[in-house]
Amino acid sequence: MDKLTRRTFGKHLLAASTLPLINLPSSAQETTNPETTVPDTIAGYRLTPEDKQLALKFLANHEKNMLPLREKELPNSLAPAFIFASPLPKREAKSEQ
Amino acid sequence: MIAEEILYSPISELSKLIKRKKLSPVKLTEEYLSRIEKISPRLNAFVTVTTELALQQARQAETEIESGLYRGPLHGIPYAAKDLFAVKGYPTTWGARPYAQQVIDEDATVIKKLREAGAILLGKAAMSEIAGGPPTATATGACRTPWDITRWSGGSSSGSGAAVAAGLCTFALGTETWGSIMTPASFCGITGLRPTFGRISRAGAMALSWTMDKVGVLARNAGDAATVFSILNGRDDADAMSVQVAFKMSPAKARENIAGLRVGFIKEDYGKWGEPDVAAAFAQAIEIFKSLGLQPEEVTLPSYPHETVATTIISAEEASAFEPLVRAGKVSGIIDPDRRGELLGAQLITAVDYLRCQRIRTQIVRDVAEMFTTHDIILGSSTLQCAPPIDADMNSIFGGGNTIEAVENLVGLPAVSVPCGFNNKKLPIGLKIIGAPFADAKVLELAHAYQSVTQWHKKRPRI
Repeated sequence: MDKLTRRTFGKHLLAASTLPLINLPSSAQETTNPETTVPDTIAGYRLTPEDKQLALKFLANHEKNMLPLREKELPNSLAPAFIFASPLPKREAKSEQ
Repeated sequence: MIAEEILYSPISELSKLIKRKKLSPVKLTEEYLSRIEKISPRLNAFVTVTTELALQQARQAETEIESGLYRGPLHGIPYAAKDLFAVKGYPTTWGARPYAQQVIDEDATVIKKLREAGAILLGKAAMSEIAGGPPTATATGACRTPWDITRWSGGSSSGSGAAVAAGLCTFALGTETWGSIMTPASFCGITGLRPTFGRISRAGAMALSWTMDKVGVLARNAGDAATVFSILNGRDDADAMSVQVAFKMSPAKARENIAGLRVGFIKEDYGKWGEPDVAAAFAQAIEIFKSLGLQPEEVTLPSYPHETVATTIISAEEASAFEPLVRAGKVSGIIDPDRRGELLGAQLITAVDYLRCQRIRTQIVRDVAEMFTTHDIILGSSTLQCAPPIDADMNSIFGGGNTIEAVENLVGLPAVSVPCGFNNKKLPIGLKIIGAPFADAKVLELAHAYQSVTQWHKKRPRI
């Protein structure tokens, strides 16, 4: 990766985050299927029937919205919008233009 | 007793009086505290009033200034901070019931910087629970705009907007992940600055979405927002995403500096999503920019499902940030049922979906960068409607339109919201001035130039 400067940062302004280290329960994989399901327990928390309905509503909406995005072909070279380090060296202070 | 006029004065005027020892920071602070006590309960603007700290900081400022130590334009200036910034010794509730007793024993970086600048913290401003949701989704009751207390001040920096508009402080800190500064600035008839992503440290602020959270300022005018930003701007080792870029905005040269700016504007579907009065105010603002020698022309955004990309990224990051809440079985303490569903359901968003959205975001960033090769500034309505009643269906208010809002936040663009008129119910209307990454000074100069030929930002609500 090229060294990031303010200029390249401006062109490719991306924000950083660590990758989500989510250990999905096996049933969670079903959420990518048209028939969305929610497991009884999420992150060690046992869902109430109301919780389950609310989570299902969210996921069904997410699934619906994601469908066209999943159909979009992305080139292998297209990286996620992350920056894992500061775009500028600490001591480098540049003026706005 | 200090006249109400003084409490509504911008920093630029107050600081002159304080520096010349014609205005006592202690008396000013006492007056604000008394006004907060009287007015804040009607608005639900403050969660915690830091009376003891405020008076101590005010006395210190007064002593220093009396002895000839003047720290700068924020010395002796009272402000409020959204209740997601940690302040040592006081609760930091994040607007949510599960965190009502939370005390973070460290000051957020922005709080430290303002303390060093001599500013005086009056209190913690109310906010939507964990920075999202409808008006009633907050532990302290719906926050109301002082223009009509039956209506919402906007979110999630709800109290910050209401407090500035009601003359309860000189400026306030807010944050935006998606609309949380622009919306309260618009609904409360004040100026809101959302700087470029990374320009203000988020250390000590609640994380909602690491790749989209920004700290900003709610103030009386663009000049004041620039003054506060000049103190907060800069790299902080405690926030790995913060950047060091020098900032210099010249109010005196604003008219000169804006000459030749290539300005575009977004034409919204006001008929479907907005109010006719908002459309008319926006059209009138375009004419004012023309009178400043600019030639705004319509621009079209690159076509992407911006909202889905932004929603998925925020939901997934939020799910990670608040996984401990779920794990602790405390998610039931979240008031808004839809938010509860999101916090639970988003735990199941796959890494593949999240990364797909982050990859599409890369394309959006590139296309927006391309857009800024032909335009320096993009104008739009801050919100397409004015402050809604507290019990209004928010899906009808925020259900569509204003597509650029998702784009701005995905790309981390700087923007200033300025008041640009009133609707037929005498509610303020906001206009937003958006710039390319790191063009914060340009955006502020254009906002200042606009405010130098308009009076909307000087209007005050009758409380």
